[in-house]
Amino acid sequence: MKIKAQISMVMNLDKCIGCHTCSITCKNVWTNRQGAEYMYFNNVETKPGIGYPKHWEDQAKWKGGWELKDGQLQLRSGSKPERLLKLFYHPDQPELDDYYEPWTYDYETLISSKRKNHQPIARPRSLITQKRMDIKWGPNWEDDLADGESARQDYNLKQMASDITLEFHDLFMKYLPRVCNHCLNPACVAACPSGAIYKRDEDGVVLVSQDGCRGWRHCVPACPYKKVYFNWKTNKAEKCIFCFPRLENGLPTVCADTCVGRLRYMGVLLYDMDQVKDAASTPDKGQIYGSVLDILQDPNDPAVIRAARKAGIPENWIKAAQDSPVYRMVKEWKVALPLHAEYRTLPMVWYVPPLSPITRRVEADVFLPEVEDMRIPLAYLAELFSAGNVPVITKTLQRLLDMRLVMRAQETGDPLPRRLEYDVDTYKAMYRLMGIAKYKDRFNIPAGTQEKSREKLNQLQGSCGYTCPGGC
Amino acid sequence: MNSLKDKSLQFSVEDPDNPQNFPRNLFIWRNNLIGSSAKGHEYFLKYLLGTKNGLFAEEDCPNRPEEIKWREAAELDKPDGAASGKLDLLIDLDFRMASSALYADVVLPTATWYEKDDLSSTDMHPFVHPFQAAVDPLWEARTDWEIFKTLAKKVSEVAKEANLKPYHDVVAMPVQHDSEGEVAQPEGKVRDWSKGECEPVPGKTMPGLIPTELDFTKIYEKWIALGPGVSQKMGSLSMTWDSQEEYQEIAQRNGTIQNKDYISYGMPSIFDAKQAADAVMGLSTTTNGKVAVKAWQSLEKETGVGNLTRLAKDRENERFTFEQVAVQPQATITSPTFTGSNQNRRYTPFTTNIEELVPFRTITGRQSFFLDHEMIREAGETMATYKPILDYLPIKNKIGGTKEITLKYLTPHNKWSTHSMYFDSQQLLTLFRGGQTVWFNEKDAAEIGVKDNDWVELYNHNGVVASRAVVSPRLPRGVVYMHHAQDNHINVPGSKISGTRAGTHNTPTRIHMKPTHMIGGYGQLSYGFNYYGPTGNQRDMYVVARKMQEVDWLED
Repeated sequence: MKIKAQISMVMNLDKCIGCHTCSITCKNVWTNRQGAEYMYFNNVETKPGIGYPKHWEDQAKWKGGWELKDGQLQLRSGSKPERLLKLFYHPDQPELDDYYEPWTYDYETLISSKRKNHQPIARPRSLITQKRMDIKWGPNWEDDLADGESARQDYNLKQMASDITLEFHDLFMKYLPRVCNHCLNPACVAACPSGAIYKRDEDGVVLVSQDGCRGWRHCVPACPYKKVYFNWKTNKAEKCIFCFPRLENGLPTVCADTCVGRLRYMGVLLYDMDQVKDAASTPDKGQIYGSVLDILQDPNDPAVIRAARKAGIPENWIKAAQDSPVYRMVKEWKVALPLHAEYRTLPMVWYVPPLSPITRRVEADVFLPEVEDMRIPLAYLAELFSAGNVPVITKTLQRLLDMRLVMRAQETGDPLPRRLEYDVDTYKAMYRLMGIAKYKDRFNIPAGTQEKSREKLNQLQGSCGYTCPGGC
Repeated sequence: MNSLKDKSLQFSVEDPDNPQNFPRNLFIWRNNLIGSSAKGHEYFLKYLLGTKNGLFAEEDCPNRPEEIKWREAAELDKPDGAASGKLDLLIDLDFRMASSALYADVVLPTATWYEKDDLSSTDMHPFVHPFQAAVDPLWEARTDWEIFKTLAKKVSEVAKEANLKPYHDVVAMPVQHDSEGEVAQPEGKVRDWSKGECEPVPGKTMPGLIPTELDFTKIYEKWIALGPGVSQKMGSLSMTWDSQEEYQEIAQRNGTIQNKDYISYGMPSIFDAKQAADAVMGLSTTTNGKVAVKAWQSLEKETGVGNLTRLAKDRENERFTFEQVAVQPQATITSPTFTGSNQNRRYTPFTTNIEELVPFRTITGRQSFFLDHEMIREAGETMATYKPILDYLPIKNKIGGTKEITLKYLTPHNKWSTHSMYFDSQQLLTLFRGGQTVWFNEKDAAEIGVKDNDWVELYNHNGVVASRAVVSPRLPRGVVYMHHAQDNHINVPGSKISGTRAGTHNTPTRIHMKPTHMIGGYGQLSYGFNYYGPTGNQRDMYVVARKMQEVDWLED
């Protein structure tokens, strides 16, 4: 057993209102600069929809993630020799139009307009070419099912054997906020010819070394979530860094901190590194989720604690793992699921799937619907969150419904159904964490492994100042 | 009174097209009137501003008003006629170059929320929030407080140079809500003194008439001080209480005006914004426990309901200051000015009416669903009533020449803007289509050959909107959505139909006056500023939608 610590995130989609505050605060902090204008380390999509970049879920097109070849795990983009052949020309690259052409406006014409016959106007201008442009696509073009035609192109809809037409009468939608998943088995790391992408030892954050990156761009198609971007100005890859400078100070990411719906949770997971490959190689894609749960270790198990100490994990990290909101939701209660587990990258951002309004009239005295009655088809959620495994998504939603039943019964005194999976106190704890948790309950992040970084800082002490103006 | 009776003196509203009655100067502050909240955008452009507009409306009024003077088109079209540009001067305070600023004669650049000290509150929640200057205003910008203070000073200076004498006027004031005026017109019967149905009695059968004196030379001296109006007694709604102690306390806290020549000499200073905020919180029932207790005592006396004072008694010693709310927004003290109770619970209206039996401020003192005013009865609205959309043609003659469809026009609120605020932000516009949009049902769009992101025009007799189409299954058939207050100075082309810049979400609209909103002097149906009165109802419209034939940006 080789224990590793991972900072992980849960998003409770029941609470997402699609406001995009996360996207905007992230953009303001990380990608509001030349070469990165089109990048959204954090974006929010309306589902169904083709997303950002367009059709990112279609791995036949991008060849992202991993596949099993004769039972062996291999990058979908090919074996090592095959990828070497594509070193100088990689055909599966997304282009700018797959994301969108970023723009600004001629605001200045509003201020310094000459006397004119008609009201002055600020027209759009490309941030890439600086030329006039027609806006044809954007990072959230499909907001709230804006374009019915593109919503119907949703990859998951096509995988479902049903005749959902997305007409007014059978409409459904949900929001899907996305960041880098900081996977346990990251395809971008494996695909990088320069070894410039790495998964940080202490917290599992996946980073691109800006010194090491040679701009081969193999990471871009390799990431099945399309969360590695290519900066056209620096010719280097960039991606969500999980706001690691904040993590190191015990603060959650900007997207999580600023979330209006308070739907994001962050904490530590302990996992057994020795079993990662086996979990990713689970033959049946519908069982990968279960395999991942198996390699997540119980932080209160003395054997795990011993192994963690042996692996050099500091006490404050073990303590944080024992009090991790993410562990609770993912492993104890099993209410959070990975996005597209079939990509076999073992994502470490998890989603509590959303409940939705009932589609048909149910008995007048039924206050809470059964999961099958909900507007968002189970098969659709299964495509997203359980690799097509409908029983898994059904059970997960049932746990969320049971929580509501139990909490409702606290007020009404109604009898509880017999089939409850957990005891009443567990549902109450779920309600506390998912319903009314405060900042400190939603985020439990140990402030870095500062033993080494402090040393470095100490060396820097006194080196800044009068002697080296302009930076050290 | 006799002059009013024999009509030798008239209200200006009786002759709105007379140049003497035009509004001449307009300040726009904390608002984006032109292009956002002006209901009937093109009418504002034409009649108020006298500039290029896309108005089609022909004068078409088969039922001419009898009590308003009617002037014929020839007279209106004279150079100083009512048909074009009533306003002489438009001044806009803003920190955005939004549409109001584009059309203003003078733009006064003002501080943003992070460059000024201010208070914010509402009766929707029980907190007082501060604004605090994190940085000073940039470039030429000043805070609102400083701008108006500067103007006050300059006007006073000029008035002194011009040796202006105090100006006396009479202001007509509607019969007020929460005053004795509420029983001015018993049984909800309207009698018209101008037709001899009753005697004109100010504040009873007609508006109150308030004589005023304006001394332009002293505006500044008064502006910087908390005046004598609140030095003895204060009130809110129908309650009154002694305010001497608070007035003195504010004088202590803020200091007083030192200039012996000023009329405000010795009065509490509100020279800067923080002082003004502290004065407000020293006088308010929600931020000064002593005032709250006095107000509750007044309400007890007024209503005969006992034991109300305890609702504020436990916080009698609290007096909010700007420094305190700057540390943290604070929950306000339970006040009879509002009907919520802040006693360790969530704030919700009408709590004290239900739990403490404080009478509702209605004609019956209870929740009133049935309204018996004669105008309400005439309109058939004594109980809550569904009324369908007004059935009229969007325009007499459609333009034609291409496929067109008539749809109901709805203007819900936008996702990434607060009215027009933030709508022109590059980052927020990037979150959707980069400019104005109109949402169509897919089948409606198909009928006129419109695909997603096509340019479309919507028109009716009030004007033309040009916008990108959003073609979605989320809308039912028969309606279009144009989100409210999308600014048309971003990415909006010209319209071939109107021949000028296409309009805003308020272009296809105009105000409908609803007669029942003009009821006054009858219990809860009495006028209160920003509280109860005629609303500018501009919705319930039809538009004709069509694909745009040619996109012309009209940058000349």
